[in-house]
Amino acid sequence: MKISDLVKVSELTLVQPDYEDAPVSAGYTSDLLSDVMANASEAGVLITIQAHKNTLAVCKLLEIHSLIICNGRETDDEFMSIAKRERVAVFVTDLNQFQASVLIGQML
Amino acid sequence: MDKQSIIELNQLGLADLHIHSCLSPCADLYMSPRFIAKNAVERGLKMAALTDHNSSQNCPAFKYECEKVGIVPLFGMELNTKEEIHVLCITDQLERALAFDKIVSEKISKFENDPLVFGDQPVVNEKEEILYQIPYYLGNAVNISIDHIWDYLDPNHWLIIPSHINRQRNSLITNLGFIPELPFDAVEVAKANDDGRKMWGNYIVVRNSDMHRLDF
Repeated sequence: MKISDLVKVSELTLVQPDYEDAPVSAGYTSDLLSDVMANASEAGVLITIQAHKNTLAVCKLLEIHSLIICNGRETDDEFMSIAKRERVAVFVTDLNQFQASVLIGQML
Repeated sequence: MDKQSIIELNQLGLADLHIHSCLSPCADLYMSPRFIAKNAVERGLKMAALTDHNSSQNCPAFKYECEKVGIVPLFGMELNTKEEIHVLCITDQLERALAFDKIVSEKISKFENDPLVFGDQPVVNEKEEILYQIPYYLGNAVNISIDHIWDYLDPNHWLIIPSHINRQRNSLITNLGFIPELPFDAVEVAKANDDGRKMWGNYIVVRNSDMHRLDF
């Protein structure tokens, strides 16, 4: 599966479409960025509620090119412009982290 | 505000920049502003900052009590940012602290406090009378990102110091995994695992009691 396959999922809304269409063979779900850094190196998609620029810094470090922001959390302009610069796809969803993880897990 | 002198006083053990009163749900109820001011004298301090979780509403009584016993008071709060990182925000002007308190009270995610679970959150006056309780839980995250604290606080009048960065929860290092390059005035190291260093990267290290009760 690639990131572009996530665009077809009706529960996810793509809000930052300028991304590198990287393969997704696993995901990681966490809101603690130190934990993400330590354990998410194989993840193609990060599922979280942390919509701020430090999340994107961690994505850059781990070469993660897609983010799913759960619980309808807001994303601000700064966050979106950095995501665009780093070519990270940003999806928002009203699902919570568990529901989003189950959904993506079934697709893998 | 002479920030450098305050940090130097801290390093001499004469300024405690992190104290919780009874307003913090996790602090003991006897931690009234009067008790804290008297305790500061007993501890030989010259200066003390009242930094409750996400609230400065006990600072007016704290100012009164400190001035009565000859302690220089500082005001502010321990802000819980959007990233759930605790950050000390400290000023020497009560009015500035109360203005920021108002902003934070609008930006905190509101969740009714259950005193049996989290503890009471009383605002008290200088007579140690309870004026009211904050109805929502003060431990929640506030919708201000750590990168944007300076949008609200003028660095000429505020010390901005991430709390207990070496702790396992609500800390810069645990929650982010790294120390971002931001204009912090210092970083606070908690007693557990303190290796005694004077600098953490480019930041000066401060040490405070973070007292919530007497046996801190």
